[in-house]
Amino acid sequence: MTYVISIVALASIFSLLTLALNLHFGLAGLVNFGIVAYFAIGAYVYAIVTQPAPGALDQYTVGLGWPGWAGVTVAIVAAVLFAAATGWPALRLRAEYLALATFAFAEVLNSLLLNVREIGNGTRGLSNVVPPFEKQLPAGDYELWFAIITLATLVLATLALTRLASSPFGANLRAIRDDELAAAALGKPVGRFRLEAFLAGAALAGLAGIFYASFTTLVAPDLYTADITFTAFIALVIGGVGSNAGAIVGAFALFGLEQAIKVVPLSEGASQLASSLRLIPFGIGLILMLRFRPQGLAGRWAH
Amino acid sequence: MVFGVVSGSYLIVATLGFALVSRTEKFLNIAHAELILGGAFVTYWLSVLEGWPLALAGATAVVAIALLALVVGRVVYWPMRRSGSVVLLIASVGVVYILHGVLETAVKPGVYTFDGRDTTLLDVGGIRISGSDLLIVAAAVASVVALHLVLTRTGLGLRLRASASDESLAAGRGVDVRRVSSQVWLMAGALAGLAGVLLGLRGAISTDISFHEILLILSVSILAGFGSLYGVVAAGLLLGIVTEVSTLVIPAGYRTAVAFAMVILVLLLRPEGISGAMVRKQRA
Repeated sequence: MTYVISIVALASIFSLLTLALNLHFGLAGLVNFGIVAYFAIGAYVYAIVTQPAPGALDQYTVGLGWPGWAGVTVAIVAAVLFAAATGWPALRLRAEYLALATFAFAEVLNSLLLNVREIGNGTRGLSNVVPPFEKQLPAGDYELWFAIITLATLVLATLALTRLASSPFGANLRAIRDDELAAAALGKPVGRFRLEAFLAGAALAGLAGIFYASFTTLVAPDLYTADITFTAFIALVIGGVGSNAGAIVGAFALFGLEQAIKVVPLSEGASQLASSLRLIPFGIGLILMLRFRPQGLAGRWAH
Repeated sequence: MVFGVVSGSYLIVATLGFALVSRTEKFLNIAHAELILGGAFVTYWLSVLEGWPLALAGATAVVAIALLALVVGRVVYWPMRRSGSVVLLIASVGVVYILHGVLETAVKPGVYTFDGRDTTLLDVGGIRISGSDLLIVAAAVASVVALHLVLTRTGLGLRLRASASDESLAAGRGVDVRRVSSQVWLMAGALAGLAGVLLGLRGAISTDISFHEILLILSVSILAGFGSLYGVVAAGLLLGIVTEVSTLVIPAGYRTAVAFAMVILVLLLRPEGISGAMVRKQRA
């Protein structure tokens, strides 16, 4: 039972991230190939703000020991600021050039987290991340409550994004995505709208990162690689680019499948093999969806 | 400095195939590094495990990877060529997952080295260089010259450049665009296979380095300017030398960060050129 609960929590966290990617890529047409960076900023900043001051064995220099709610606030603000710093120059680029620039930013960030031990102990990472509401929850049912809170956040985020998509702002973003020159000719502040969408999506990705750090109780550079970005893209394409429901369906389908494979009891050698083999159906699924059902399982193709 | 030229030579061969695809097929094939790694491991398998001579094993790997690239190009990318560069880029992530899954299934994790690497130092005009390294530089020179001759002196090169600059016009003038695309994949795959052989000649190989390799390839192609095959030569040498020399000043762990900081600068300092081209493409 706890196993199912933790899958629901994890799939909800990745749904949040996929929703953020959908806001960027599906709604605003911003090909963010480095969304893991904003996810990582949320996670790391939350960990740094809430953890105690460094002990003798630690190499990190800042640990504020603030309460969880302060950590959440600072982490989301940090994700937005990082998005402003990277998006302001990078959003001048389009299509695959934007993909490369965002990808590059994410790689530089990962390289810094890995090499600058003063941020978060380098490769070892920061362990014992305290979830924001751990003390308020009944200790015995902690996993269940964590999953419920994650799921509730997912519902709220979906409602907010659905409203945003049907608002004039959402209509403007779609117009810019589909024909930027026409939108600009109509006098829309294209650059500002694109940046605002980018910041909003980064805030959501940062929030997902906070949940992820709380879930794993560990932040380390290995957990925040380009694989996270690729996973979000696969989930979004499977579910349906441009559809919030699709983002959630895709993330749950992906994690359901992945965890279902893990349930089968295997010897150590065989499980190693299975973890390599597992990549293949994901790749095939992604390509088949792009080719034969570009609108995804749940969505309508927006491009 | 010599090391810089050697890694630069490898980078040139590794990037040429990628640049050829991004110029003619109009998208970034992230899976190119998996092809390179495939070439390296086919060579390892044939030469070390099956006992073939290294040259024969390498040549077989080049042919095998060329055919693999042709199959991938035909089956995956060709039917989607109208979907746009971003969709193809995402599709190539799918190809990465498939090829990497196959590679990790076939090869146990670990570090592998070719037998028969020639590491004795030779003295060539006052420069001390090992036989293997000399071979890498020679292979790079040969690839660049061969590709240049194919592109400028053959009918294939003419058809290739025609369909790269305007596919429908070329098709209208009787160029078999589909055939040209297949030939591009064969050439790009052969170059990837060769780069794999060179990768193994340069040092140890393992299944988890493909991500690092694609980062380097992307850096070289951005520095070169996409589509410019000759820029690749200059950019490959530059990046090879800069990353080798920079380790004297900056710790080696920051190599990726240095390469990518350079990438970001290049991307941002010439946004007009890049975005201008994109707008023209959208209008077309």
